[in-house]
Amino acid sequence: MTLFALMGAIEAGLIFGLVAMGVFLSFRVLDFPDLTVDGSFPLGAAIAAVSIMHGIDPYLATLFAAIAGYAAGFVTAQLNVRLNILHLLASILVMMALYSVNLRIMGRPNLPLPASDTVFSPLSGLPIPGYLSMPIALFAIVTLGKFVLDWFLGTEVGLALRATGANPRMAAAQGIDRARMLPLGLGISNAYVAVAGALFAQSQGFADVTMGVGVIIIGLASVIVGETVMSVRTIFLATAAAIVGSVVYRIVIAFALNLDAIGLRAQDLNIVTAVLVVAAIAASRFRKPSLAGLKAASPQKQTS
Amino acid sequence: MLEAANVSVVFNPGTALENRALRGVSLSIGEGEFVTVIGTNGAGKSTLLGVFAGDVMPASGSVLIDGDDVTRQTACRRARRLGRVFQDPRAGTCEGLTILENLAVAAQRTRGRTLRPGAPRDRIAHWKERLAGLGLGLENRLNDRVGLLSGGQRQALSLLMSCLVPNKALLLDEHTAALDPNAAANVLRLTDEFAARDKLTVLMVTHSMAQALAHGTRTIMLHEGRILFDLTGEERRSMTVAHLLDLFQQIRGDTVEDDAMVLG
Repeated sequence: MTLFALMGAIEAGLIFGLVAMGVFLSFRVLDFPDLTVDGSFPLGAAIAAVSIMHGIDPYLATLFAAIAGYAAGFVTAQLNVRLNILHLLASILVMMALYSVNLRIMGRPNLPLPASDTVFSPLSGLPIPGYLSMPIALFAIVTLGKFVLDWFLGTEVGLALRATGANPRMAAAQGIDRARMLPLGLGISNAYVAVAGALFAQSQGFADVTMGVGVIIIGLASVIVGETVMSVRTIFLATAAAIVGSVVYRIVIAFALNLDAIGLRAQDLNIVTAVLVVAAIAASRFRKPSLAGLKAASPQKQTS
Repeated sequence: MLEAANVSVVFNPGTALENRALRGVSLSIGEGEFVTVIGTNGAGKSTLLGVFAGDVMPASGSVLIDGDDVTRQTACRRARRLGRVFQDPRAGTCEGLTILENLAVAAQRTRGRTLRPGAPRDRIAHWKERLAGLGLGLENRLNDRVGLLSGGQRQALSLLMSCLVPNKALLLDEHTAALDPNAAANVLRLTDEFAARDKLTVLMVTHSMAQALAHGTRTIMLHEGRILFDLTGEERRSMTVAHLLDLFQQIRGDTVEDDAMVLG
């Protein structure tokens, strides 16, 4: 693999690190399998692309993307808590609806973006090559996102959010209203994902309605890989693991698809990802039960 | 302080499984009273507690806390005024969170939650002091996950969390039933200690008649969704478990016959 390809993988890994943190928040912290992300990722891309096309400042456009993502997660949560729709179904409904919304926002399935007007355009003025400056800039953005999330999960509200996901009964007995915590948590989760979509569109130079397909699995794979390669005892470590997992996942995939000896091609990406997720969850059977939430209850788990 | 007025609870109404868990129970618990509730399985003990906590919505009747009608209020809303400890030690604490984080969650029960840090330094000292009062050495394990604690330790922590901020009343649902005898004795000792120190109003459901008589100031027995008897003062002080059983059999015998006559 060339240095250029490696840097490309790291770049994508860092952007999807934001997705991984969002997925960590919904799947792990809130114990809510939220598939909305497959819709909120292209939603972020669409909002950012259209805003920039209309001459809006790219930073502001990215902020709009975050707000739209928050709204998407908020709707999923409301479907679950107000109408009692099963969490998976609620998120799939919103994901599906967002496909139409995204088409409406963009007006067509694919929208190119001028490279001269993105949050990354100031980088071209720097005396270092783009394949180095991009990962560095993204590292700074993702690290900021990580510290904001770490800080939030340590506040009074953040702790209440964690209690809601970890033990709903205890949370209710401590005066925590799940109907208020869930929209907030899923909103933030999808805001992170939408920002990732916005950044991805700006780095790739286009937004596409289909760019969200499989994002949830990539995010999940990142979280699981992160948990496999490092300890996740604290929130600080867990969010770091999500980002590390995302980058490791991208590098592994890039290697796998680049090795002619295995015979894998780019179109095999999704099956490689699926196999990776299955293998990681299966492997967790032999480790500490930190991935319990993603497996069906096995008989030996009932003993306590 | 706590009042149930003519409360009836029906589970699965209109089905073959219909179960009238409470049949017009009226109970008024004054401030500072420590009421123990006994009864056979299915007598409605936990349902009564659930009615006060907000887990169970009565089919008829009303529930009052401190004179306010809270019959339609959700459990988490009522939690601002009520402390609770569950039978299952795992239910009252969050095992994925540390001891410190659990206390931080409990400390905000009666207040709104903000974006301030959940566990600020100046409050940790106070929490450590309270933990030390449990006599379990937990004050040195602030950053341990609660999942690492034993059932007895977790239940003592649950109890502390339910009393960390001032309560209108404390609801204990067989909170020592799942513990070994030593741990149960310790948790009961702490219960008495907290109740006395903060002059708490307590409703404690228990499976043990001895426990019901040894703790608190008032004992009620439920049977088939009704209050069978209500003991206070001298009458309660002179009561022994044997007497209680006699009384139970005597009264139950009568009511069973009554029911049989009514129901044909």
